[in-house]
Amino acid sequence: MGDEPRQATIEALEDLYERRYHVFLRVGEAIVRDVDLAHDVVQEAFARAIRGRAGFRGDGGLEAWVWRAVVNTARSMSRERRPPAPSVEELSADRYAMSGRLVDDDIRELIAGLPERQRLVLFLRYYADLDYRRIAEALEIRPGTVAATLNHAHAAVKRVLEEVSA
Amino acid sequence: MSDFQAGVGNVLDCYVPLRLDRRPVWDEVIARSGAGSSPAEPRFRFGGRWTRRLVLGLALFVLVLALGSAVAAAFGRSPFGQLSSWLGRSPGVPAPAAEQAGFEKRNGASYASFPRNTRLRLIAQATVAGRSFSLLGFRNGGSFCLRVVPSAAPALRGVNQCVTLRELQRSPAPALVASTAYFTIKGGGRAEAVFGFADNTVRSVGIVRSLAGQQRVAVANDVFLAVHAAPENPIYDPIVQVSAQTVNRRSFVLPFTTLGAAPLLAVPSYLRRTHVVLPGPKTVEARLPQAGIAWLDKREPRGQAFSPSVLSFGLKSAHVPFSRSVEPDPGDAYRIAFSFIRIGTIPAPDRVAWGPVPGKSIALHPGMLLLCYAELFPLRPPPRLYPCSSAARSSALFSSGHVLTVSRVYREAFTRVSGLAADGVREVDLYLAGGRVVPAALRYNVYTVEAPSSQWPAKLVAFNNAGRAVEVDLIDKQASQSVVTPCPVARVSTEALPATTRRYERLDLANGDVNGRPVLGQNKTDVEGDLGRPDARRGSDLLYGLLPGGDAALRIHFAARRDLTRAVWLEVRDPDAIDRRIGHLLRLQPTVVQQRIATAYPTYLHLFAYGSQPALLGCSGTLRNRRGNLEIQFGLDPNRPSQLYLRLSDPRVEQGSTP
Repeated sequence: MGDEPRQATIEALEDLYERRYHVFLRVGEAIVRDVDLAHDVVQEAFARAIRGRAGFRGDGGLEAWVWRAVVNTARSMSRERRPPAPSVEELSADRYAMSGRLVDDDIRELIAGLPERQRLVLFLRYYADLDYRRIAEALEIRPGTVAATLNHAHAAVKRVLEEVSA
Repeated sequence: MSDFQAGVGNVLDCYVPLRLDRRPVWDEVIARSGAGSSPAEPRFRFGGRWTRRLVLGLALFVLVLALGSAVAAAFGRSPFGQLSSWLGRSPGVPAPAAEQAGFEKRNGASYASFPRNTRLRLIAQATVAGRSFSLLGFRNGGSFCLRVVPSAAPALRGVNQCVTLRELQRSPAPALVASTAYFTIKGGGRAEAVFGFADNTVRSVGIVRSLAGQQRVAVANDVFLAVHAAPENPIYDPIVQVSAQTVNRRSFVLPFTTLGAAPLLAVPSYLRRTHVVLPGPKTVEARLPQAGIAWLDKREPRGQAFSPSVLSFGLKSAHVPFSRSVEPDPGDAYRIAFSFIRIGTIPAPDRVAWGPVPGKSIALHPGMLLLCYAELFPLRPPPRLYPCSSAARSSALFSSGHVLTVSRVYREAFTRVSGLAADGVREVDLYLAGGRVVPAALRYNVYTVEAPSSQWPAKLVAFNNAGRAVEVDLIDKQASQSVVTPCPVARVSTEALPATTRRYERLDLANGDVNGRPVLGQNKTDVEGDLGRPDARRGSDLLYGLLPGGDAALRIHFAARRDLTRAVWLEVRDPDAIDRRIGHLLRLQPTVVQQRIATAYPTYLHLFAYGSQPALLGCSGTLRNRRGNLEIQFGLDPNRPSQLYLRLSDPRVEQGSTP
């Protein structure tokens, strides 16, 4: 993984895309709940980044700037199109069991039921491994707000974890 | 990462998996953007030093084309650029005569050998702990091969790794780790090496270890060799990152897995595991009529002649009516050999041979005909163990319902998967979690393939002539990608020490006493007489000093031994517990505890250094005293990895061997 580039060149964007495509896809799917739509999100977000690359001021990182595009594109596509609910069988086949059991539907519904900002912060923190500053740049909020939002999200998840392990 | 964060991570892993079967399509992005190959944004700038670099780059490109056009062109747009020292030239200097001779001796004695006229080049040397290690290089067809061996012992097997052009082309970074190497140094200590290739743009390679920090080595002749000295029984200190630094000051992390990371059958909670969706067929699509190898059953002379070592069976007489070896890949010296062996006289009636199914053996008797096969690795001595079938037909070499045999040799950089393929298998492909599909070399029913370990898990798929999958094997049954992280820092109590120490907090690791009285091997009455009434009883355990979460400051476990119920182990989780020589044990990091015990109690020897067996023991260490009557296990609770514990036991009492 290279250092953060200072300009949003097509080359730099391609490098970022190739290196982190699967991470972008994962966050996209977490937002729109459909992997095919998530691929569209990533493709469209990077296309927009290319078209708007002259507007990259370089004061934040390029990756955070692209994450902003991915998140905003995912949000708008999610509003435009309601994705089909995945079947229980499909989820069951794909799920990794935390403790040897299949994932509880309650856990999945809890994540989906969190306020949007809490979900986004969780996804960017755990899937994309972004630090607070980059999450703040991607979501256009203050780092302090990121920390508080993450705490609230953790509290909500903790409650379900305790129920599951009981 | 705390236990809770690990739990959140696991939940989110379940929420959305990593979809490595999906492929990035940059061309589609370009098409959507309408940018195309925009002339408004050239890939490089003109003027000044950029012009000079451009001119120089063009000149070099032309030169490379003239010297090695086919190989140079093959690199294409890969991040891994040119190996100018290797293209059309020979890197380094001719190997010294002793090292060339040592290689030729080892090569000549190996059943899987490189071409006889292979000439080595000495490319690099490194010295640690007064010992010099040589990095030698040579070409084998389209592969670039490296060999690390002690300079003073050139005929040793050493560590040898060839990297194909394919892997260099697909490297995501301008450098690539070929292999690691571990050597024992006479007189004590070890040498640990990491070596590989780097293209023209790389200036140095950095190796970061969890405890030892960073080691940086320069790149020369398009290779790097980093050798690190370690003590004889080192504390587990995994390599956590390998990186390349280029001449224009960019840094790239190289794919690398930590020894002990794969395969993992049990994953402690501090090892991250990400569920991946492997590409390729998920189920069998067609069946072959029967697994077998016709040319073998008919004893047709395919491949090369081969003479097995019947001494490995403990036999003094045996007849080998037919024996051949097959090299599936001309660019790879790996082979599989087949032998029909008729048993003559046997020295002992209970002599056995290993069957093709692991764990099953075959009782030998005179006159018996076996069909055996063996894997032959480059520069290794003749194999001593041969899986054999007493049915003496090829179909018995395959497990029921399978048309492949699968053998895996794992190393941190590359893993080899090899075996037999039944008649009717036209192609064998390895599907990697990274999304790649690597075709195996397949010839005369023998296949082999090497792929980067960092792209595991993986599955092997065999296809018939119609392109239908006839076998799908998840390698090692691992469907999740695991990442070993260094043992986390233990959460150490910073609360003020109490004014007084309770009876059950006073330990003596010299003899396992608590409050100056023996506990291990004692009955409950004696223990309660010394320590007082417990605060709780749980099954047959006595608990003293209840802690939040249901733990006890001291827990003593009793079990029946020779008709008596005795204390077999005691476990301490109390940060206020104190050893008379070391102090407050559970207010120290485990590595410090290990050092303090070794210093204060020299009668203890390391069985397992802390963290040295991450897959089996997790983040824990074990010491045992020289008499063998006291054992200390310490470290992080595998279920709650931020919590420290220490356990004392008498192995003899545990095993019931004491009166």
